[in-house]
Amino acid sequence: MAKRSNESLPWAFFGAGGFVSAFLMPVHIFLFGIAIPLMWIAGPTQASLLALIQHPLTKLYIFGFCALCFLHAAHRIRSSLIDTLRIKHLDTALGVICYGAAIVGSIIALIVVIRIP
Amino acid sequence: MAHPSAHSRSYHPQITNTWWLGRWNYTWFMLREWSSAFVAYFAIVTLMQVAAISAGGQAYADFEACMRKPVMIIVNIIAFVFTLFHTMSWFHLVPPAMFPRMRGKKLSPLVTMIPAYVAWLVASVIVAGFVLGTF
Repeated sequence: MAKRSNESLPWAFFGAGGFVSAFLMPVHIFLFGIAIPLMWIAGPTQASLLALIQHPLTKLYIFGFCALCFLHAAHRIRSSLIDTLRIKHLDTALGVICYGAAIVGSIIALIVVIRIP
Repeated sequence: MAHPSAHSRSYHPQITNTWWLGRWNYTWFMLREWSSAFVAYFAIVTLMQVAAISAGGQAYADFEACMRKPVMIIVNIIAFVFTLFHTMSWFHLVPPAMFPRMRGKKLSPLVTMIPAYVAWLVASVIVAGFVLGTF
């Protein structure tokens, strides 16, 4: 009998993160990473952004967005490292490092969101 | 019984660490995979931004000054190109795989891709609207 894959949970997060980052990441980078720093458009003030991130739905958005992006990247970086460097024997260690980093990142995201005044 | 020379005759392909530079298909595949590193990078930037907004006006002014550094803008342009590539490759692969047919009829990949692009545009406008205070 074929060995069952235990990858369904990482895959579910990888897929969800792939969707979330596909839909939302380009606009985030374009606004805050390019257009506002280059003054193509006037950036929002700290006060208006604070009002925005204080809303419970925005807090949920920030946490979900960051956590899913981290989990998506962890899955792809793990498999890319295995494919690029052909280090299949280090699969378990890489999994612990990559998914571990994503979980730590998600916990930090939760702390950052909780600490919004 | 195993053939005595089965081991010595088995196929051992030689793969180098630069196999993905050999063909454009493989290189595109690798670039798509590595786009995820930029996704993680800007998720970290976003968290730093949220922390700066929480910390007050001076902290956010420092964050904005950091983002105006030329090196940051160059990195962000590279990250933007990679995430666009991620978005397009995701839309070209996933919706056609999720909805291959409707009422028994085979759907053209284009039919499933177009709603994804429209939803992407709508989502981007909504995010920009909230950020820039239009809504």
